[in-house]
Amino acid sequence: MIDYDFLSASGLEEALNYLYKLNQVKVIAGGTDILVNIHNKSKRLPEISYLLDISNIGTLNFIRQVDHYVEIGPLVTHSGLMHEPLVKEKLPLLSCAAHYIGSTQIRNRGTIGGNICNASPAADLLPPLIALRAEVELTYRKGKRVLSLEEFLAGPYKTKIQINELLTKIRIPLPGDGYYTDFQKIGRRKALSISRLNLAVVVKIDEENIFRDARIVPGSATPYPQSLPGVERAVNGQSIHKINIEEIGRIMSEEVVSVTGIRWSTPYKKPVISTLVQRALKEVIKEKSKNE
Amino acid sequence: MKYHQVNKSVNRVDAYEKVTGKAKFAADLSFPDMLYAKVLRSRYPHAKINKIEIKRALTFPEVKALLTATDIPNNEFGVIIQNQQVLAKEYVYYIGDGIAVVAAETEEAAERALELIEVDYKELPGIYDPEEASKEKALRVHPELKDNQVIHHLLRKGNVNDGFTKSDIILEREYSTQFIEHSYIEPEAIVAVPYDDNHLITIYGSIQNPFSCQNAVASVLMVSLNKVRIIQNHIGGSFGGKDEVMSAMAARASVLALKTKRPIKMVNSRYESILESYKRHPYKMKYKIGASREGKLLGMEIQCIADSGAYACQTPFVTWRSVVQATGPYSLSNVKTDTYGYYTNNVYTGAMRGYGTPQTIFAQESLMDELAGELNMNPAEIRLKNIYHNNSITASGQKLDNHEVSLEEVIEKAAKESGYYKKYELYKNNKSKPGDIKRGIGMAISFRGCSLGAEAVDAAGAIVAIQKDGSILISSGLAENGQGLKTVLSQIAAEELGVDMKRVIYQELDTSISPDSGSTVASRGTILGGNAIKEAVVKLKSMLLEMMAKKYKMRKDYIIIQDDYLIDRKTEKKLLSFEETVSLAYQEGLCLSAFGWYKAPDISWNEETGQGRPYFTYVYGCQIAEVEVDTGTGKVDLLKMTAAHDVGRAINPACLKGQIYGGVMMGMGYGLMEELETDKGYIKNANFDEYLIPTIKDMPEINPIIVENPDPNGPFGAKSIGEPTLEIGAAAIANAVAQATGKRIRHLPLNLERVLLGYSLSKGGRKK
Repeated sequence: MIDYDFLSASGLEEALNYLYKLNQVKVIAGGTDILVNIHNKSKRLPEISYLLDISNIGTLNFIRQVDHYVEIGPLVTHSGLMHEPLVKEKLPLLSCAAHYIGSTQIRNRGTIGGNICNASPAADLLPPLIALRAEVELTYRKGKRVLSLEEFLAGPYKTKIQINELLTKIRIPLPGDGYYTDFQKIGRRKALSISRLNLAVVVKIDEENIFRDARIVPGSATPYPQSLPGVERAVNGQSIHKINIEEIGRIMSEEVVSVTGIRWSTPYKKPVISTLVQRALKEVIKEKSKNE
Repeated sequence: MKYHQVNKSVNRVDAYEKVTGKAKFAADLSFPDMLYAKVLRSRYPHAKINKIEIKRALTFPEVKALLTATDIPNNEFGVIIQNQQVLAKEYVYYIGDGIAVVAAETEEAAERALELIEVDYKELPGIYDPEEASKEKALRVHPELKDNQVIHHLLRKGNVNDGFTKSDIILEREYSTQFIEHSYIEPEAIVAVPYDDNHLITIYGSIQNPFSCQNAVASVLMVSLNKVRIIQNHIGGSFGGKDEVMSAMAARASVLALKTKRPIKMVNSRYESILESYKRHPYKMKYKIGASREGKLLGMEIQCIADSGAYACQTPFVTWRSVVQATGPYSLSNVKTDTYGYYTNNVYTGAMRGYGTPQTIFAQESLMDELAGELNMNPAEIRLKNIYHNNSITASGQKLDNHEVSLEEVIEKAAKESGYYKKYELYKNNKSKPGDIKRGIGMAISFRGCSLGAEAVDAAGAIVAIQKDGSILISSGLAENGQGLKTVLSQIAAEELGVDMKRVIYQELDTSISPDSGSTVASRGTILGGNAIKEAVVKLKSMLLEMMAKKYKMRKDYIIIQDDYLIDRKTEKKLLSFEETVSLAYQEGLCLSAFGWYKAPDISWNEETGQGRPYFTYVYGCQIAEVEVDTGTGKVDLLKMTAAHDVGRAINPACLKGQIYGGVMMGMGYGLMEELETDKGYIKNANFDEYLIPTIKDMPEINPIIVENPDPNGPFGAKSIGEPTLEIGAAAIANAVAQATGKRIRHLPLNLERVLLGYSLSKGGRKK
């Protein structure tokens, strides 16, 4: 059994003060990961003396558009991402991915901030957020800093957050005109299913029908979600009519294996990640053709 | 015949208290001075226990008692073979073996005290594969036994070699199935109360089979049966799973209760439940089949090896049902079947809905499709060519002459409703179609012996007590396990008596009141329990009619009871209301209570030959699965299941459909995703985050088709439904997937990896 004291902060300053003053504090919002880890005495759980509940800090729960960015508060739940019109309209990739998470109950409690800070290799929001070039704002008592999400992630279940910092904002640049997105997920059942593999694709198709600025991020494929420059390069500059999609699939799976090495799951994941990237690109091309 | 109470979808009698949350389950119960107990389980799948140091745990605050094996009066129990340990004594034989149990003022204190018990183990090599265990020089799981064999059943009919010689085609195939967790939604829970109402011990709990629990506890305590009282609570699912594991829990709680003289409550967490409770047997099966060019079956040779795990538990009977039914419902002159169970150091295996048939049906029905493929025949056609009909002789030599053998009917009805023939042709040329998404349709059929058969004594009792105001109490020695037995038996009692079912209240099973009717297993609740209830009602009715005949100076058989009135059959004139009649009988000093007893018709079995009449009647079913397979990822989507089941007579069609829906879902889990994974005896997925069962979102469209051919031995013709619904689904799905992909998978479950690659993967590496 794990002993800890439970703290509840009603404002950001109070939370930051706790983080500054106390040691071995673990932040809890929805609790869908941490409560399970505490219950299971998970090895992933650091030594904790305090659980700091931030779920009552109203100022961390927002979704708004600021210039060319959508800004999302860390306390926004997966259900919030699914249903908020701004996200649905401007970032359909994100609301689509949120749809696949857990169950209704988990989506009602689990938050985007928690999904990011837990940094699971199978997290459903991380590939789309990375592909969307999301940035995270980390606040501490005396200031704040901003990192790209990809930079923020440091390993499986590891991030670069400091012990006195709190994730206070997720900032997503709006993809401009001509951008298309797609999300693919394979699980073992239709709900309450941890991704066996997932994939987020964000790509621009220009007036000449040429792929530009491809961002291809698989989940559950690499030790932690990351974009794959090799396959992105292979896509960029190709015409949507002439691209050899099977070849892209092959490059994708080889790049994934070059990151992970041959593992017990490779015989399955290698062909399937190829299938997923091919499907995603086909979807994107179909969508583009529909718009013409 | 027109029915008034049965054959109707009346509300379940326990629905209101369950949906309003008023129903009390064992974990809801509380008694004054109650203590909480927790079990320390093994660290290794196989080890010698050198020493158990309990001093520190005993002095932990709030700890009131601590037991190890030496505190248990008689440490070994079992329904068939008494070799299951209440607590591990010298050896732990599997990872779920209990070593010590602590009672404390709080559950938390009990759990903390467990951490203070120091066990000095000597880890031993174990045996984790039943085929390995079968070898002559194999390490013995139980050193005192001469080998690892739990049981061997055989069946011989004709000469199988003659059959193969005459065959134009012979196929030999190997199939295997996995460990399955019952996944009842309510984990095990018990409260044991000492010295209560003249009983040494009273046990409340989530117990599927109160009488086997009573037997086990009395035997462990070494006291007579009448000192042990089991009162069954509402039960949150069981599916065969709350038998021996509950007996062990009840025995531990009882010894603690007597030692502390205080009530003891024990509730397992899900993790504890999956770790300790027995599972469905994994089978390894070798099938050889011979047939003529025209598809007539000429010989079948079968070998099944079941993993019994650490204890014998129900393996002898589970593998017996397999030996009887392993050929499936096909006429064959030449059959040679052997089924075996072997001890290993895996988690032990026991009863689970289906009981030795989902495994063999998966093999036999896959094989029939493979044979159809080789002969270029339609799978339905090859089945129709070989199935049992009225007066067919089964593999065990039984002539099916006392009930309607309705296989053809269930196949045709399911085929028609699912559009089987058309779809089969449509999906046939999948290969030439573009895209990764392929559809397939597949069928599986079964015959299933109702009730226990030659396993054990097959009889059941009931008490019907008419109160002086005309209300009625009934009780039965068979248990409500969530399947709807209370409702169905209340309907049967009311129908037979000619009164409204609202008069009837069904009492909870209490072993000190209810007649020992054996276990509520083998889909025998309705057929055995219903007959016993009917028998009691017939006695009371006869007594009432006799009294009325005297009073009205009429012939007894001219009076009937209908719609709560005693009626002159000829003139249809109401003579007296049921209440007035009962009141009169009470005034006259007549006995308004009756006991009913029903003993199943005679059966026989020759262990030497596997010939006889193993069951007194059978049910028949056909399920047809339609799937969509993503051949790019291995994902199988079960779109639709059409399930036709002959139940004899539907006492409550709504409850019956509920059984079909649930059975199809469990069959789907068995076929597509469920697998308790073990690694050298360690359980790798001991919680629902990793042990995956289907969710409501995975539920396919299910079309239940109730087929009714009343059975002369069933109450109003009713037979069985619980198990038949589960046993054939996985086979039907596997056949549909094979059609969709053109590839045959012979190992369950058909998970992503198997469907894509043909083999499964796990952290240990590649599996079959």
